[in-house]
Amino acid sequence: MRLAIEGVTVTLDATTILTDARLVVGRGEFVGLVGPNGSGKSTLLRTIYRALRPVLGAVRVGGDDVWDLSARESAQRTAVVVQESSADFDFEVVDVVAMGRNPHKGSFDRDTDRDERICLDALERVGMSELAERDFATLSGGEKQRVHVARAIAQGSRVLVLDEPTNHLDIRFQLDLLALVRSLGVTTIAAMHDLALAAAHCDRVYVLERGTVVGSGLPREVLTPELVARVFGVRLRDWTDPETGRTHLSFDRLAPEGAVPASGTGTTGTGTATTGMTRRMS
Amino acid sequence: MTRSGPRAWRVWLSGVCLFVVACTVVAACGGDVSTDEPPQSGEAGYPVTIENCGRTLTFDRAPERAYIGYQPVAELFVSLGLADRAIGRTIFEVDPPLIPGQEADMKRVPVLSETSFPPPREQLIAARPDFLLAYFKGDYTDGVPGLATLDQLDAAGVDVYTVDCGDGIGGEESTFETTYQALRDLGKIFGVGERAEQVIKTIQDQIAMVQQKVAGEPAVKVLIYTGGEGPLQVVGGKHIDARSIALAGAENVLPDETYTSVPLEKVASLDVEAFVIMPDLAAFQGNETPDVSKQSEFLTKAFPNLTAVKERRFVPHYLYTGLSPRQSLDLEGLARQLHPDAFQ
Amino acid sequence: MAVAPSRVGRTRSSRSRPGARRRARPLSGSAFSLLLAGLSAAVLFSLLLATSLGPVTIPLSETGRIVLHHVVPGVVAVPQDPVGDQIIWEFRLPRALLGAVVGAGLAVVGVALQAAVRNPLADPYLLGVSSGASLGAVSVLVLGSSAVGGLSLSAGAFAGALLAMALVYLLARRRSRVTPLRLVLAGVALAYLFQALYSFLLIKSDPRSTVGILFWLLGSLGSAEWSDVQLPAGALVLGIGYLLLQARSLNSLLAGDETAVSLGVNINRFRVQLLVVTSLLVGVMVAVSGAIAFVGLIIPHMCRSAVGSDHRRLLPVAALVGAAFLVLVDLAARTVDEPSELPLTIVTAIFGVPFFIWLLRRHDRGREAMFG
Repeated sequence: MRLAIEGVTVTLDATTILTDARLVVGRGEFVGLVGPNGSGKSTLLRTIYRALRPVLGAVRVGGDDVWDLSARESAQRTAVVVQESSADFDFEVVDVVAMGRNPHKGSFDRDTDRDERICLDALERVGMSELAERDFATLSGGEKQRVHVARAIAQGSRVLVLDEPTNHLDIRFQLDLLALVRSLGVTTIAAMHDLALAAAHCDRVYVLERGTVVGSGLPREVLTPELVARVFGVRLRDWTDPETGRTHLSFDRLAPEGAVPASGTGTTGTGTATTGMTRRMS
Repeated sequence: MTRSGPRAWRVWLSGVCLFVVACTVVAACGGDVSTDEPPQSGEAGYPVTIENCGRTLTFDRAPERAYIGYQPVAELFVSLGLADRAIGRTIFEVDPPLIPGQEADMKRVPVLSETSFPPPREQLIAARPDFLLAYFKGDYTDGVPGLATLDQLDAAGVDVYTVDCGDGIGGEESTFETTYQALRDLGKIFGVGERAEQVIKTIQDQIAMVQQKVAGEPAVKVLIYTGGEGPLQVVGGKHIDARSIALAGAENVLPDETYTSVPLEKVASLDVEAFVIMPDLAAFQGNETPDVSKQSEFLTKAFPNLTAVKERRFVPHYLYTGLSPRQSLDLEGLARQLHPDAFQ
Repeated sequence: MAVAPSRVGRTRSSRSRPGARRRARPLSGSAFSLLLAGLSAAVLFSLLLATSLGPVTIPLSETGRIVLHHVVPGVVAVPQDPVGDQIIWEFRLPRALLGAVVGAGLAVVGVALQAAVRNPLADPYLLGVSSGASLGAVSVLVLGSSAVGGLSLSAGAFAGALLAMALVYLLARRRSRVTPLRLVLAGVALAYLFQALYSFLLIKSDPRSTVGILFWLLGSLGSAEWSDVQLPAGALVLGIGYLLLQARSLNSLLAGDETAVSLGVNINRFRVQLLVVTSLLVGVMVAVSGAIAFVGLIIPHMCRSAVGSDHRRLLPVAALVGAAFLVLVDLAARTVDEPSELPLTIVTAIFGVPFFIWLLRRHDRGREAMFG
């Protein structure tokens, strides 16, 4: 199912958050959405699952404007995993997964054996079968996130929206989760904080800056040192692992105007953040 | 709670000559029951029809089992010599001591309720009354959950007579005339009309006597103080319990209020010649006299410049006697304390 | 979706942890039906107790005869003692039934509001409804019925509850959205305002009328009559029916607003619907019983820890437990301090709060063990 964002403009309290955003995610494609804090990533995602209504433009899922669909029809097409702290209520893991079946159920429908099978299968897919009857609240952050992915799987939607899916996760779970989502083969758009992670996992990326799409394409082509410096304010360097032959992204602070280089180092900044993610050289 | 009230009460109202006067009232109110036996049921004069608070009550005979309620109206009932027809009343511990002469009768009436309201409906109905003497509508409307309603009382065959027809207690419409009316109505219902007129006359005579005594005296400006040291809890001249003090030669310095609280500075600015102090519960508990020394001490410290404090005029006086026949008794007690010279 | 078996996290998930609580399989129906049957029996038993016990002793056989006489007239002879008949049929039975209805209603409303504002501390009176109702009731009691447009006590309470609801809603609304936080803040603020107003009336009132007001503020079923039962019972049936139909949406709401939207819930409309339905329900209850605290807070938690948060199971269980609980609480309220009655909140607090604290501590220990 294809996702298309066509000239979407969003204003909140007379402030324009998104301006004429255009974006397409092809069937089965995994597209990353990157940009600094406040660039409008979450806002853009929220227009896809009808949490926000654009003042201009349209969001089409499977060819239909989402606002021409009912809330339920939209939920049948689009599943969402966001970072959201759910309150301290007693849900079992399988209860949470079962919520994914809600868009397919009328008020009078009961859960069928098929629903149960779908939920257990979904848990199996994310490797959480063992914890099906555990209290959701007692899970670790990574486990909770996987349960939500299972819930999205149970939802059976052909489009998946992820908002910062790897936040607060250990590095290993970040990689596991992205691999898992990719393996689902559904049309996916994910807002991502981590450029290196985005570069390594996305088929294509879109770059947002102050509510405007300023770049799109293959990660390697879009994430140029010039764009990264302008949008994110950091210096991009890539280097090739001599053992694997893969190219990695790493980032440094840009030298502030008139700043004195730290003595004893050859770099232009301190606190080098090196996130050694792999980028597939295709 | 103490049950030593009656004893304390007599001492408390111990104006020197009071006891003599009290005995006169007693002779009329509660004294010799045998002189005026209520007639037997089915006697001539019935059925009796009475208009009461918008309802028409019809009695084919005098009720036999009366729930007589809260102290002021229970005193009305007993003053008519009807104590042997009473099957229940509220507890009186929180109220002033009994009218001299009524103690023995009151003690015989079982206490069915531990509040000033009737007992919960189940207990009330189970006591099988055929008559309920209500102080005001709140004794059977849904003000206090659990009370039997008029309909339920009707279904159980209980006739209800209400003394004060107002929405609340001590409304502007209740006066001495309310007390007289209740006495007359009860006289009719129970066939003791003569006795009722006798009680009314005794009250009227006593009031007339008090008025005559204080007629030449200048009215004493009083503040009726019921408690509190932040703002003072006071009773203004609008409340029935406080209105009658004018007859005792007193003038309320807050004529337009009912129950209210006033700040200290306001009190300091008033021209108070005497504090009428309502004794609190503790004053009755095991004490020979109602002890208002704590209140007097506070008022002395707080308002050193008021005339009342300079002349140390702190008058203990119990207010909540409402529609009881004791109103005239209390009135005289108050007059004696405010104008001791007039009674010499 | 492409099926690609994942090995994600296998090793971790299979690790067993101490302190993990397990419950019956949530989707299995038979155990749950059994639970509902047992709870229904408990409600019936509590009704039987409350009808046959009281300050006036009436033999169980006589009680049974009286009830049967009214339920199937003609089969059982007319009861001999009209007083016993009145006590059982006019006083105790409607009172017990009203207790069951109000208990169920408050528990269900507690469940729904906790989901609506996603806050486990929410209770039916969170949105100022009880203080609004109390203001209405106190106005009638202090100023007299004629001063407030001839409203009866319960009509005054109901009007106050609705007024509170409408004001909270208007205050919480911004750009046609209501958020949980704003609802709670508006509810708390208005509750203080209403408390101030009725306290003012209370200070101005005659000391003798404060007894009645106290009963109102703390809740009582003492005035229950048959005519009081019908409206709350009807409202309860409709309310539970509506909430059960929305059970899946309530579940979604607990997962968070964004997730709920993505699961096809129109959260703004749904939240407003929940507010209206629960406020009407509470308004109807509070008008006949005063403000009974703790039931709507304690019962939902108790039931959640037993059957989980899935509203399809939680709602009926909470309704039944709430019903039995309040019937028994009311029985205690009118028997422990004979011949006086106690306001219900005194009893719900004395029995409920220690239990609640115990529940919280047990809950916390469980959590800590899992994280430690």
